[in-house]
Amino acid sequence: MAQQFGFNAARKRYHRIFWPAMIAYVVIVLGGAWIIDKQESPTWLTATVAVLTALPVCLALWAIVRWMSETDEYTRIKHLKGFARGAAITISGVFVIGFLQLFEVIENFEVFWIGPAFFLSYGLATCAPGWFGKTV
Amino acid sequence: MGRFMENIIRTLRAEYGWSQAALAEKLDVSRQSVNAIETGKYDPSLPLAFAIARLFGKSIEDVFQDPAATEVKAAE
Repeated sequence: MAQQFGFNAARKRYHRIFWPAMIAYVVIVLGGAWIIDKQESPTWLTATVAVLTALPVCLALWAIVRWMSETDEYTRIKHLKGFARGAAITISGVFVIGFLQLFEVIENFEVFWIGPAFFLSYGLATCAPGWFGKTV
Repeated sequence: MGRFMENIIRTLRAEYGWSQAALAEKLDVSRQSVNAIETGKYDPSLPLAFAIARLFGKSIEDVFQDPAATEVKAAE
């Protein structure tokens, strides 16, 4: 089990990783769009920029998981449930879309959207119990 | 287990003149945690329950009551 830091210390540790990661993400997205010319850029450069763009998001995701393991027990259970429900919703959607593709009902689906769909599901699944008078 | 423990945290907090945020700060938990415990929507772990009781200078049994145990006693 991860070391317990308490609500305030865990929040500080989370912000120390999350916001720099988000700033790096914006800088790399803008910088990447400026550097990359899809017609001319070599594949290695395009691939490098693509991976570099994803890295801050992966770092932010890791910061969220670390924060959940370090924060107070109520916040942890609330967010772990939201995280699990969000993952279940997203994976269910992936299965539906996957079978629609397999049976050739739809053609292409951008895999990129799975990430944002998960974060949206996680956010909604964390907040939704509150809308119905429940806490977790 | 579908029922939550009952508690007198709101009363104790009023006696001490502490807001939910102030109590949360003393316990190093979120204000939402205090609200969820106080309104009986979330049962704290034993260490947190002890910390709450200790903060108010009371025993756990003074602060938290199990409604099921009360019903059993009444039935006897």
